[in-house]
Amino acid sequence: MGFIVISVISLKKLEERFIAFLITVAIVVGFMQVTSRFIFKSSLPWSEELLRFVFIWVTFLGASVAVREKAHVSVSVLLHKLPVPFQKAGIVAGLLFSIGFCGAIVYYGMQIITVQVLTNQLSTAMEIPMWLPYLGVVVGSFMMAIRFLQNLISLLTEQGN
Amino acid sequence: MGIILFSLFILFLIAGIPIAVCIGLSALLTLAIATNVPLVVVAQRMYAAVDSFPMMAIPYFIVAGALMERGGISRRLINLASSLVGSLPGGLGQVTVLTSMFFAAISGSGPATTAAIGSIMIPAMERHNYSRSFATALQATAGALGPLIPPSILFITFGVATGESVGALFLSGAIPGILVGLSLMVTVFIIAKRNGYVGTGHRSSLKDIWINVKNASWALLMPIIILGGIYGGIFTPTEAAVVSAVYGLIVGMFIYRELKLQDLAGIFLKSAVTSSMVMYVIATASAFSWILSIAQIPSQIANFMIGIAPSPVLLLLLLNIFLLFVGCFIELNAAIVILAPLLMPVMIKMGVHPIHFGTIMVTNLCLGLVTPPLGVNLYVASGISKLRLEDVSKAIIPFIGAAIVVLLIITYIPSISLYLPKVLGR
Repeated sequence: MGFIVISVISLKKLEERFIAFLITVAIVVGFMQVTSRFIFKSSLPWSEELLRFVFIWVTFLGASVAVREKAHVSVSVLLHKLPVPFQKAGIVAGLLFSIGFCGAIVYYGMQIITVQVLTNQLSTAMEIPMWLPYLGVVVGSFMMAIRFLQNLISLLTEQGN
Repeated sequence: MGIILFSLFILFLIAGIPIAVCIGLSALLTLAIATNVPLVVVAQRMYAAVDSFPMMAIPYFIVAGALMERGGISRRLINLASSLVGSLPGGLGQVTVLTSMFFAAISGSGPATTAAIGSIMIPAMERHNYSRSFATALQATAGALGPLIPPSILFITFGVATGESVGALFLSGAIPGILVGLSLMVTVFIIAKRNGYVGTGHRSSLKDIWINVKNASWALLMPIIILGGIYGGIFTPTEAAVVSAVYGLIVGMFIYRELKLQDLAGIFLKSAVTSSMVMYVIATASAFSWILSIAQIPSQIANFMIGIAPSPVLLLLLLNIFLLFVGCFIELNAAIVILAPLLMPVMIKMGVHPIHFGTIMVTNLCLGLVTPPLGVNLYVASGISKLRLEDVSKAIIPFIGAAIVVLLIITYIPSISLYLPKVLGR
């Protein structure tokens, strides 16, 4: 059990460092693109594609961090009007639906990736495997599902106390 | 199909599910129930929405705003605003509005503007015996200028969703943004007279003003670089956003020297999470919007709207009422991704200029930042002042009223929005 807790914590650190790293890459490469076009009058062939792929990873990983921080916007006013037991039931149902949605995106994302691996699709500019950017969608959605599950577990255990 | 889609969405919304997930889940389930389209298309649409170079201006502008704020810009802008309008009645309130306008020209986000200026100005107003609900309501509304005065995340989303020029949209928001700002200052003036909120007392000399302009000049230069760069054809909006992030980094670290190297990872992570929430909701909204278009709902809506509102005057009025309502419940970028392509055909048919439509829509939705139950600015501002939403909701009414008056003026005088894009357009 302790091992699982530790690995979840270090996963969190890893994820956060990775996101900060990706933003650093995005700023450096973005700036290289502007300067090369502006100063050297020739645009880099690979930078735009790389940046698009970087931000796909950032978006889906960042969305999972936002689930952990409960930062995603939602309309909770109506739910709060209900009697307490219904509130809890509503939140539990909502979390289960959210887990289901993220799970579905992981599942269908894996379908896309499988096809891409089998047909060996490469990106147009950098000619790297196309499953690499799509993997961001799958990994991010998977992490989101885990975070929703964690929120669910903490809600249920706090009910027990 | 449209009915299933919207009823599922409303059901999930009531259950308190994050809006981005509500949108994606209702899209997914509608496809499963009402069509035999493979569901993998939802994942594809979400990927495709984020896989866009113009859309990347959003995260870059968010990073730029965060760097500027942490680099000590907010305080310098407040000093400048105090020396300009601090001596007017309701001085600190006037300073709040003017500083928010300055900051809006650096940041494209409403909550970011509210947080950056409000964390200083709300406590300052309280110390000077302004009522707490007044201070909170004012800052929340002034923060809504963030996405109206360029750069603006909402205009980027609108441009990408409809294919209109982001540069022209940016320019179209400048005068409306200033007008809304002025209307708030007038409202502050009236309330201040009634409640006896006096100014700071001393009128600043021209020399003081000049010193404050010089101190804030690095911040004031940024909008010129952004708009000048885009309009001079030097860079695209996304590249302008990159340049402002780098500019913010350089100013914060080497000129104001308030930004430390070890702060950067934290700032990057925080802005990445903020922009991820925006981009993720755009991703699911684009799957939702795709279903609407395969069900041919845009043309049905167009026929319906022209049926009930045969004149442009009436149509625009209905549009405003509808958008004000929508803005109360839905995340604004999602509203744009779903509704802008839906409404664009009607607007064009009725002779409304696409850019003007964009300005109306964004100005209107900015008010959604301060209308409960889903007013993000209200949450941020009342988080700072530790007030309950109910207490702020009443104080916000005069400010929203003033902004709605300006909204109607913008709606019925298209040249307010179209003048700058026309004059500066290439």
